[in-house]
Amino acid sequence: MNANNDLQQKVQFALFWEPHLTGAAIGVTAHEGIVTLSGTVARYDMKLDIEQIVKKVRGVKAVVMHINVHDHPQAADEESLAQQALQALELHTSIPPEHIKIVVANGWIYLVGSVDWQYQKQAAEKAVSRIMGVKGVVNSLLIHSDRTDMLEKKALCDAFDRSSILRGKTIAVGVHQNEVTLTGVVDSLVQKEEAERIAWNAPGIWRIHNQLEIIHT
Amino acid sequence: MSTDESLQFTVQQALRWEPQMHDAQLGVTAHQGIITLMGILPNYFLKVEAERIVKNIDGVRAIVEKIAVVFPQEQTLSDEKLAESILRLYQSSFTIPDERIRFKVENGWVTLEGTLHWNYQKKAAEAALSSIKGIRGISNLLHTQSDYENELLQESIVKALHHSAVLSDAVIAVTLDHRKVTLTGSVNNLYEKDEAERLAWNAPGIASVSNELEIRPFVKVFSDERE
Repeated sequence: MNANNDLQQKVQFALFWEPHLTGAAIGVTAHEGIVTLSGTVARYDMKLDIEQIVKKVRGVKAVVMHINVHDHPQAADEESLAQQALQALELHTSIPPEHIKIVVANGWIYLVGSVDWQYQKQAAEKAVSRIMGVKGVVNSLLIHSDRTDMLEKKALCDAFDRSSILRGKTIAVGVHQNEVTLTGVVDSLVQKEEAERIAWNAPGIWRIHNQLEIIHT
Repeated sequence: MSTDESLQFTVQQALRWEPQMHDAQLGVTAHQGIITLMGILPNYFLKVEAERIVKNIDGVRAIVEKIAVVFPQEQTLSDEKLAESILRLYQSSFTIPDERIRFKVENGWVTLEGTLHWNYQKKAAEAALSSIKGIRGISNLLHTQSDYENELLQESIVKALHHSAVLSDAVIAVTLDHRKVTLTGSVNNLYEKDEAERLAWNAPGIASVSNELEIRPFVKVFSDERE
């Protein structure tokens, strides 16, 4: 069996193995570690869950999502979606809703404005993605840090060293003003994304160039 | 520095690195790989986050949590409001069978009861609540009982574990006794231990998972000089 077929089957099995995704009919193709998913699902958050599961499969280097979200049978009107989105942000303990604006168009939710940290940007996206009737989310939130700390390369390297997920990996860190470039080799998408998540925690960071390469051993 | 002291220091550093923990006042002690977290946090979500962060650290074998959630004054929410929010969240979720769950809210503390088909539903019912304002704690008393009749396949579980990029250097043996699965072997950290258990619970018809995975002792390898 060639490597592409093998990866395709692994991904199919991983999706089959998640009981909450059994209803989804997803087409899977694989080419040199790039997995393409196609099909139609009932909800946007289901699409996100599918993506997460596939990223955790050994050997997957990138995921191409060609998955559509069905029109909801009782299509929620845009006002109600906007209202629910606001409620979802309000309800969350760690999202400061003051600087977030919500725009709803054709079932899509657009988040605009700014937050202090990347984790808040992600939490906001996650919170509105779970609303029934959402077809997609575009997260245009900016990370606006008041902090003027100099980015410390050593602190970043230490944080990578502490991470068990990145155990044994050497990640080179380049710092240019408030931007960080990550280079090196990791085993999986899980590691690549965790490295980026860790880097976002550096005080004073504005942008990350994640150039980590996935070489599956 | 002894191993315990160095682990204590690593845990403190790791917590400090996460922005949501910047204002948190947590005490950390380490004893033979067992980490005790003590202190007061302003919401339940941070408590869950603290646990998640520590589970990812090499050398942590277990966590003892002595964290109390004490809200800042302006953040108290009535139990009625909280119950309404929970109901809405459950109704709009596709992973939580809300009609099978009963819950009680008392002074910000939520108790979940009922019988579900799958363990992931039980986990999802709890996870959905963790970030809500006004939650002080959760007692998850949900039961799972599968109505699946077919035989459980050991090789499927082995396959699911083997395909995981998270468990790439884990050594896990799966033993099956009727509908009870036992996991033995070793993994790098508590996060991997949890992921292995989660995957095992996805087996159709499973009744229980006994997670006997050990956390590998951590040997620090110093990486090469960075450029």
